[in-house]
Amino acid sequence: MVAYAWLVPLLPLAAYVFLLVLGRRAPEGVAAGVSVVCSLASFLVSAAVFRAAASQGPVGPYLFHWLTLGSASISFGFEVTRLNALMILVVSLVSTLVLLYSAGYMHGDERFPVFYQYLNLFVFSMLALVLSPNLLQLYIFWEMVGLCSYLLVGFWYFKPEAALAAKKSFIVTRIGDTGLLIGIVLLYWASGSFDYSTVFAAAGAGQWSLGWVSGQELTTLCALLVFLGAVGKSAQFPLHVWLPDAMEGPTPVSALIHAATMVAAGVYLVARCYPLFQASPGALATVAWIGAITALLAALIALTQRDIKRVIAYSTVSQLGYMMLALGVGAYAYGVFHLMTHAFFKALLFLAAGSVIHAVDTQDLFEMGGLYRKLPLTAWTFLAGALALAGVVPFAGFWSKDDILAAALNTGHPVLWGMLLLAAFCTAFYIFRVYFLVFTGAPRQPERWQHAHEGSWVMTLPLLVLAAMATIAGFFNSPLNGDGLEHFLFADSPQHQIGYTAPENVPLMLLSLLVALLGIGLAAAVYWRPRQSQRPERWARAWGPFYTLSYRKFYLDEVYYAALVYTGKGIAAVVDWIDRYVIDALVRVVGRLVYSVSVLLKFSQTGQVQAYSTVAALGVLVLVAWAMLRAGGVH
Amino acid sequence: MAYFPIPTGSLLALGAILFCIGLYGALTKRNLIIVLVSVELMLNAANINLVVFSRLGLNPGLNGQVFALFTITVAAAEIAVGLALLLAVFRLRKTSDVNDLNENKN
Amino acid sequence: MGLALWMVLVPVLAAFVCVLVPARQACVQRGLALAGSVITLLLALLAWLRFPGAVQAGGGANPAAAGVPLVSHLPWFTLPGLWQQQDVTVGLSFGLDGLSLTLAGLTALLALLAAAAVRPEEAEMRRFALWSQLAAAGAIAAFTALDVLTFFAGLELSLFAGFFLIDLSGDPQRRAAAVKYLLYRGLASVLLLLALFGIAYGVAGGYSSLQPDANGNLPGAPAFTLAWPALQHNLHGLSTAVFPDHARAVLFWVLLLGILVEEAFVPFHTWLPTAHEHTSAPVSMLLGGVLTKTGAYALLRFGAGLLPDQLQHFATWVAVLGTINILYGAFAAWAQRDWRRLIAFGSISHMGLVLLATAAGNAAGLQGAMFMMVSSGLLTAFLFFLAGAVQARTQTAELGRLGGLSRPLPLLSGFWLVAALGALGLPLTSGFVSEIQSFIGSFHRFPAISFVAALGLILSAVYLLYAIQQTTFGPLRPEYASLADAQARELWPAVVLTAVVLWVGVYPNGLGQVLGQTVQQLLQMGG
Repeated sequence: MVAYAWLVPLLPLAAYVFLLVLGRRAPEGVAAGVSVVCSLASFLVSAAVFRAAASQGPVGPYLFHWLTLGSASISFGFEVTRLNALMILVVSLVSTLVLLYSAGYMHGDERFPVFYQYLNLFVFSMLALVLSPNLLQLYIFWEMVGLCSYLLVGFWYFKPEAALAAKKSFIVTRIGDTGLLIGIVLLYWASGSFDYSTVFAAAGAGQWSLGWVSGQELTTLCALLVFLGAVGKSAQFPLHVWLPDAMEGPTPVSALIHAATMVAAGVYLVARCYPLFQASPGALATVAWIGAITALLAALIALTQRDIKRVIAYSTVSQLGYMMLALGVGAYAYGVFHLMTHAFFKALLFLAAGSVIHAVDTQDLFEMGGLYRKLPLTAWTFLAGALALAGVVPFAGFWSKDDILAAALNTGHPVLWGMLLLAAFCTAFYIFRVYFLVFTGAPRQPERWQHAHEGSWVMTLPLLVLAAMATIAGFFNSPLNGDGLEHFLFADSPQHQIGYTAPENVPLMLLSLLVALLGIGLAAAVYWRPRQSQRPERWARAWGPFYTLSYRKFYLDEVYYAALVYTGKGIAAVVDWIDRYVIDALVRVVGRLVYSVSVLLKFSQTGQVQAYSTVAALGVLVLVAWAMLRAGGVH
Repeated sequence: MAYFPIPTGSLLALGAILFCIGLYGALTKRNLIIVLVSVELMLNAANINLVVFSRLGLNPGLNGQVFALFTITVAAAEIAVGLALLLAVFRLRKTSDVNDLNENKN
Repeated sequence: MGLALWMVLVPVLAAFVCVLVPARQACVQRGLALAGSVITLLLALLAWLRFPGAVQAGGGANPAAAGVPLVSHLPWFTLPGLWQQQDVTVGLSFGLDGLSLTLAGLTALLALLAAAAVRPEEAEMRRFALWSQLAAAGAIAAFTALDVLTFFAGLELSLFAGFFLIDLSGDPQRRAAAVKYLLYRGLASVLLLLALFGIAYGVAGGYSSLQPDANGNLPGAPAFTLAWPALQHNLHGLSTAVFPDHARAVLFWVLLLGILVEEAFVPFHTWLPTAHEHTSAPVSMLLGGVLTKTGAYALLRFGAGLLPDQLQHFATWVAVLGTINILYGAFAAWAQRDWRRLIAFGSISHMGLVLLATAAGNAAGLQGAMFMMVSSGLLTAFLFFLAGAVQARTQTAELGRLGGLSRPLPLLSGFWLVAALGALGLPLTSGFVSEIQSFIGSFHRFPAISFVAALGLILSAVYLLYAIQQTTFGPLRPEYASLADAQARELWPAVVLTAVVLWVGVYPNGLGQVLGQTVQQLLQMGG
């Protein structure tokens, strides 16, 4: 079965090509139907591949020769490992549900078929990314998912904010991608191949050199460059600024690309290149610290945002930080585990938020309220997602987040652990702030509330499935399942050397549960009861500068704009000025010089033949005189 | 019949003087007819030289005299064409002053 | 065989027929231009099919065409006793090795698409057909010439044809732009001619301080020849006593200077944006796609092919020049407010990478440089085609006066996005394959310089996406609400270009095998 894994990305590609041929006038039913069927088939194949991968080791046949470089040859194909078998399962499942949901959410949009084209292209690229057997192929699809993200964020291209956000997302991730590309090229020269196995074998041995850098330093440099790619794609500090803006895209896009799959590609990249990172303690520490900073920073920003999608977007950034930290402290399995559970509960939160936005046609939290009575199913499923995110037992997030916290402490990183615990408290607070503001209390804008209603079954069914997954996915790696995921991931590495794992620590579990409940309690105290409706404003006043700092996202956008965009535009303006007024001016000066000489000379052109002949006669005279002098005078 | 050889130098001096008069006229006179006449003078100066050298040069022969005949023929043709052009210009511009014929100026 | 010769002759014949047909029959004229290009393109495809077999069979025994697979030769004239009592024969010799074949095919393709892109109201069709065919013939002759003199003749033909093309249509300042173009490239031609003749002279021992033997021959000096395969063969392992190093160095810098001017490298580039800004789109397609690739061709063919030791010796200088071009072009493109100038500066930035990759001198770098020439040619022409199609509708190419064009012009906007993404090096387009190979090559030799040059990858995304955002995204301007999108008749050049760009990007080995033949030869020369 593993040999048929190439079908997994090929099915969405077939759907893409089919829709491309049909064009933009394809009926909605056909576009959505074909996409969902292909994606579902892809999911079923993935499931079969996953089952087969559980019993087999990594398999990686190459399919075709791509390019020859001198004596080196580059081939493309696919590989199935335990890690990417899990990834394709998660990706194809979430994709299927989002494609189904979009049929309701995007209903009536004039570019409905185009939306499905882009989504199918994305699903293909994402699946091909995780199935790539070498770094170059990974990079190709890495950029392709970025392209799809660009197209989908800018789907409503006529909105200036969407156009700006799309451009920003592409350029900011491109900064990281350039680092990744350089890293891949350096790894190629250091190890002589793009293949993971060759690269990792060379990295593990550590005896490699590029002439100007070698050994451990080379390993660290390459690992950091690869990590730069992951920082861009997974929206880690300091390149996280594109993800919240990317919320200008349609909500299903946010759920699929900017929560469950593409942004997790960075985590996948670090996990896939884990042997490289393990060979460099410095790189691992960087990963851990960046992860922790991101987790805390994004959680603090999420506390005060007014836009429902932005809160969840910052939450995504924060949770991706958790995953990075897990990988950074060596807890490989827990990072992957959190990636999986997060994909479910975050997709759920986005789709539920989409259901709310669909119903009330606003994204401002303070224009909602009391929607539980209008959208009970959405409210319940959102609650499941929120509990999972906050980390309340027995929901999925509890198990994975708790594992990460325990790993941080047990590997001797108490500071990181403290940061994560604080972030966990904020997480519980902000997501329940959203829940209470949206679903409880009195409607703040009654006319919007009046018209709110649940979507059709295509929108509610994915919510229910994802809610179920958000509830039970944690058991996959809980003591109740004998830590099944760890065993699955590590079955091929007998000495358990691939990463840190540990048995559950009950006091720590209780502590993190307590922190989560405290956060929820505080949110309830501030936002739940209608008679306390004055209290959020009082809180904001009391925390004045801190509130503003969080609300303005620590002014990072402004800082970047000043530091990068202004500088870049300034250099561009200077270059343009030099081009016009120095280089081209010099050229014009040369031209003018020739011209002015000719202007002077033209005064000698009197038009009188007699004048010309006089000069000619004088010339002859001079020549004759010269010749006579040379000949020695007249005898 | 007594033979008084005229010195070569004198004959050449005659040609040179004639040429200079012609050149002076061609370069300074404003009337096109005079300019043409001066050009004729220069041609005839050349003719004198040709004839002198054909008789008194290092390699005497008929070549120089034949050339002189050619020159006379060509000069006749030139005068014919030149006068025709002059008339045409005069009809067009009502002048035969070379100062007014500086179309090529600047 | 004669394929190479016919590829030059067919456009010349087409141009000749254009002269005979009355100018008012614009349809016939256009048909002639199309037919000439189609036949040339078919010949190129035929050569492409025969190419692997010809490589297997090996080059002919003739030293003047050693190592070139598909050769056609026509004696032209003989200069008796030109050099040490030997006759020097100049032939109309053309040969198709990997690089020549690819570039000649590219020329034919772009000449075809440019003819298809001409709007009847835009230009006098006879002059366009005539000069575009002659420009194509000249460029193909330069790309395929086996003889330095023939190369120069082709270069001059394309130079003058380019002048008349730029002057043909566009805005009132086009005459000044055309003169600027002519002066710059005329200078470049002179420099190239000087360098190439100097090399031929030097190989025959012209700069040697050795004493001639009793017969007047220099010991160890080969016979004088103007054929580059023979020069390449003679130069391989030629003693520095025969061709001294300082002479080689001087000739290399003369050649490089010629290439810098020819290829519009900073600071000799200002004619390029000016020309593109003031002429019409089909001419820009030819000019940007083909006519500006002769300099890079000379760099690879004569720089890397004839003076590899000098190229390696001065490689760091060349790499720094390339990086300056990459960054200068990118920053300047960012500051432009006119699409055509932006595309021109973008192509300068791309060609800077060619310089950097060639300087690296390894297989990946040389192959990357060749890919980049093809890719840049395709994408520059693609972008100019689209800018022209949109300009015909909106009457402007200024970024500030466009916006929201996705709604009235979805197809054109879609293709525009494809072209821009290709130009910024998105994977699965030709741009990516070129960039990755170039950078693989350059990082091996110049890690520090390449780190700086990689900034160009980010900047290209910045300026292209900024321009796209200003053009097709955003709210629709009311004056453009009723624009009519392009139909299939107008769009097929875009479809063809997209197909080629994707073909190179998805399966680069097809092109890589052909170009690889030249790469191997250049490497043998250097090694």
